[in-house]
Amino acid sequence: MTYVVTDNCIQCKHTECVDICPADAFREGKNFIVIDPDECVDCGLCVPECPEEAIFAESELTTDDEHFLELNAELAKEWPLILEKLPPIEGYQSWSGKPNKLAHLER
Amino acid sequence: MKSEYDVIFIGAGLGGLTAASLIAQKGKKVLVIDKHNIAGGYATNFKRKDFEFDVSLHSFDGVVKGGNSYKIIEASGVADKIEFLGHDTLYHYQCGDIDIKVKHQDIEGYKKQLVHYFPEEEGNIERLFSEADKNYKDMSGFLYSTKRFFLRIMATPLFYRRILKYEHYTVDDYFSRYTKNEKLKAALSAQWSYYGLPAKDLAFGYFSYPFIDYLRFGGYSIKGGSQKLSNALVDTIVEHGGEVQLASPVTKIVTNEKNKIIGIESKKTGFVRAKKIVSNISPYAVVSLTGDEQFDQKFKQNLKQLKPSISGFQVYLGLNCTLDKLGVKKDEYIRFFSPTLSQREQFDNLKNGNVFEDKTGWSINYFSNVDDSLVSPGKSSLGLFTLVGTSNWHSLSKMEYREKKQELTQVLIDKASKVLPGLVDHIEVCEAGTPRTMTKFTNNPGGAIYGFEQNIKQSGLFRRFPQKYPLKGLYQVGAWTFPGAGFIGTMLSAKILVDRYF
Repeated sequence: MTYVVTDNCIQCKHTECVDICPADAFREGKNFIVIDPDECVDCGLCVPECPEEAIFAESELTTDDEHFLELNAELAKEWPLILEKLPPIEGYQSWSGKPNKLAHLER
Repeated sequence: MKSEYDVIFIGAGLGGLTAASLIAQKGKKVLVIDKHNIAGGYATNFKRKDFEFDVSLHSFDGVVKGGNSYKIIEASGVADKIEFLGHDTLYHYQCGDIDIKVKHQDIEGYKKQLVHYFPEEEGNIERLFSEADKNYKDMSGFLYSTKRFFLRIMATPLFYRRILKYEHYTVDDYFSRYTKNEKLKAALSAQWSYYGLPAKDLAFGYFSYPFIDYLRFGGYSIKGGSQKLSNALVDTIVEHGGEVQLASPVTKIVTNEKNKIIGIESKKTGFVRAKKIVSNISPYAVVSLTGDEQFDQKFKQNLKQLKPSISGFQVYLGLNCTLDKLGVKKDEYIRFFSPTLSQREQFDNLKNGNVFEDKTGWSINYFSNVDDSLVSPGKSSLGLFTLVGTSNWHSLSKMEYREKKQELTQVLIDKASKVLPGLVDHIEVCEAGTPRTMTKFTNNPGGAIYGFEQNIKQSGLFRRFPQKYPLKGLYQVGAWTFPGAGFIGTMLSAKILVDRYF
């Protein structure tokens, strides 16, 4: 099992999740962060921290979001570790809650 | 989800779950709501690879059929859902030339060992235990009485008079009535880290029940870890029509213009109505969720003066060999190491985080010796524990924090390696819980593990933080209130709460 960051994070990236993670499992991209499934210890602490409600347990992913499991694993291999909370992306308000932001993901 | 409940419990720790179970069994509609996605508070398990660890339980006193403490297990509806595993050795204590192994349910054997080291104290030891037994009877009589609560209070000076007699005693005050021998007094309070204060500061009233309960009825683990107990409580609540809503941080405790409780708000549930709310979170969090202005000055002043308990640091180790291979016998379970005689000196060092030299007490728990269902065949698990102060953890940057955690982990592993040569060659999994970890999971200030410190000013029926807030409909359960911390303490607080107010 692992927890997975999904679409709602893209272009917002509040990073509240990073500070609480006891396993240092988050990896940072330009406008999205992901969880390294090999590091995640399934504690679930990050879930209520996310203001965009972007994080789900693997077992609770909707069919539409299932591909994020693989995407998290793939990007975690490429992206650097993030340990400290950062300010959210400027102008995140206009993206918050918008569906299907995946096309905007910067790799 | 309903839009209204009879009682809402904020926090799914052992106190909240037990009280919810007791009230649900009375036919009331209850909701337990918690921010975390696992029920149990400190009574939970976690997994690393194929090792499962119990977060906090070291030893659960007296939970054997026929024993006093088992009554609360039965009352909360989980007796047939969980199994308790007795500890062959209650504990093994070492301090200087004193080396005492306390066997399961063997108070006479324990006294004999004490007499062996302190032959001139034989009569004193006998008298000390005789009175401690009587005190235990008074305590149990009060706690498990089926009489209505106010009748119990009225009956206390007559039938449970030792509760009042020792109300102002520290553990050391009590022992000092019988002996002046500091070594003997230190040995008698070998388990002091369970209570988070040295004997000279620890309230006897709080200590005296488990003290005898452990010796007479034994120490226990829960088969499969304490998560099993928490899950069993959740099941009982659900079986009786109650609900447990996890991963839902409460954002507000809502009151009306008359200062009465009317419900809670959380992002997931929205507003949920209830006339009664029981907090199983810290009173500080209650004040901030309700709004500071809802409480009078006297209450806030009092809360400001109360002292939260110390925190703890535990290293959880999963080994790729059996404990037997490291020379640990099957009947061993917990070992207390006390490098110096003065508990107060140790405590001051622990509080300030001076745990790097060999000046402070610490302990080993051989988890898999008692419960091998937590590990795969051929493997084993153990815990290394020290109390540690709450300051100097929370303000660190994540990098500094990682370093500090690693450093302290190493200190404990080094200490353990002296007792268990070859230990480091067998470590497959190593995890540590720090004061910061405690706060992350529970929001307890500073990572306090025992609620308010159990000194004489903050313990006892009339001095512990009350179970009823000055706001109508708002109550407290768990380690922060009477009687206090510990598995049995928090479950008893639920029983007293329900006996008294529900």
